[in-house]
Amino acid sequence: MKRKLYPMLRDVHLTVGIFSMLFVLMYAWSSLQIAHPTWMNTKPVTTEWTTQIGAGLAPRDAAMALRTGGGLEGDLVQIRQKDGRTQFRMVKPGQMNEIDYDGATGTVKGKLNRWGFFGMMNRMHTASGLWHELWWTNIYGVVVGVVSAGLFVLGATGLYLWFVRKKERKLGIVLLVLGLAWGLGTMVAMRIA
Amino acid sequence: MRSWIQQIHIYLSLLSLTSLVVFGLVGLHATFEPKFEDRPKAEARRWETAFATPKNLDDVELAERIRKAFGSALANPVAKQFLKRTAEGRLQVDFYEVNGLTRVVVFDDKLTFEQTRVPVLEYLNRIHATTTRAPVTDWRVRAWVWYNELAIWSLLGMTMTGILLWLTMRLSHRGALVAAVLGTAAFALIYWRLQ
Repeated sequence: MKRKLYPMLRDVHLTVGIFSMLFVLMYAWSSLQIAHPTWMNTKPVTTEWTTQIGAGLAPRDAAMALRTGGGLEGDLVQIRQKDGRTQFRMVKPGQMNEIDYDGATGTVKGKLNRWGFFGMMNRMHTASGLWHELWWTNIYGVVVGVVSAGLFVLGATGLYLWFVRKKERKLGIVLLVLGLAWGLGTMVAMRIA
Repeated sequence: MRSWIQQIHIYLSLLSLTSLVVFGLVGLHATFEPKFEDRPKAEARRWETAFATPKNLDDVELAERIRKAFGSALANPVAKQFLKRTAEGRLQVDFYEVNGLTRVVVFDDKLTFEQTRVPVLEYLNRIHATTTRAPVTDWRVRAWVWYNELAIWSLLGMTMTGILLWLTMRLSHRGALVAAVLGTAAFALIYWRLQ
């Protein structure tokens, strides 16, 4: 049983780990950037633009006109209307368009914030969910779920693969107990504080 | 050399196993969580307590006095943006911490409290984002942020050593090759479409 289980779990561990590697690297790298924000430039580059769409449109219709006519993508958020002007944002992980729409004339002033590679890592880290208007973001949401579930598979198979190796068992137990006491201990202590 | 890489991979994983589980849970929680405005609101607990409000303190000093006397052990000194005035002109102080929010309104002779405690999965979400960047006064939170820092480096180390082990020991493994192609293609496609 053990002879069959070990190679099988080693294959599962390897396959799941290799499939997830770029996503996990992205999470690890962006975590460092988020924890140490001065290490990398993660700020977006901003450009301004103007265009013309139909007058008197509701926010969602204006967003739709910008999607079909201007190629804008993303979720419609933070809608505000005041004095005949409509402001909203269209957001996807790599871009955020800040829209100022004049309902009387149909003039749209936009500000595009576009993130570079390092900024994109942070934005991907914080993007998730299956409720987005842009279906690529939902596909990414599914992958986030798959990779997250993969962490449990990696953890469980990794524990087994370690435990059957006698060489690393003693120090491994010490590190496992230390990590559990430190991590789980502080988690519980904070929750009941 | 391979044996060293393997040992680093194993030991880092064991040391940061708790965080690996937390990251997995947080990722699954984020996947199935509804849009912000559709999320159920937690029930608030309300109470009040007698308090003779000193007249000689400014808002920041008063908020600090309240925090020390009544605040959660995990609450940090309040930043100015969390001090507001109610419609009646009373000072309102928001104490944010990983377990939730405690909102205090200051009257002349009493304090009213409204406390919202986040569910466990949201708590895990908050602590996974509590890093060395956060201002910390409590020893428990300080212990956690250093564990989290270790976990981040471990995750990076585990992934790098895992890739090295694959490249040096099992590059010809067909399943891993397929997984590498699928995973890389998925990442590249998603990156390109979301950029």
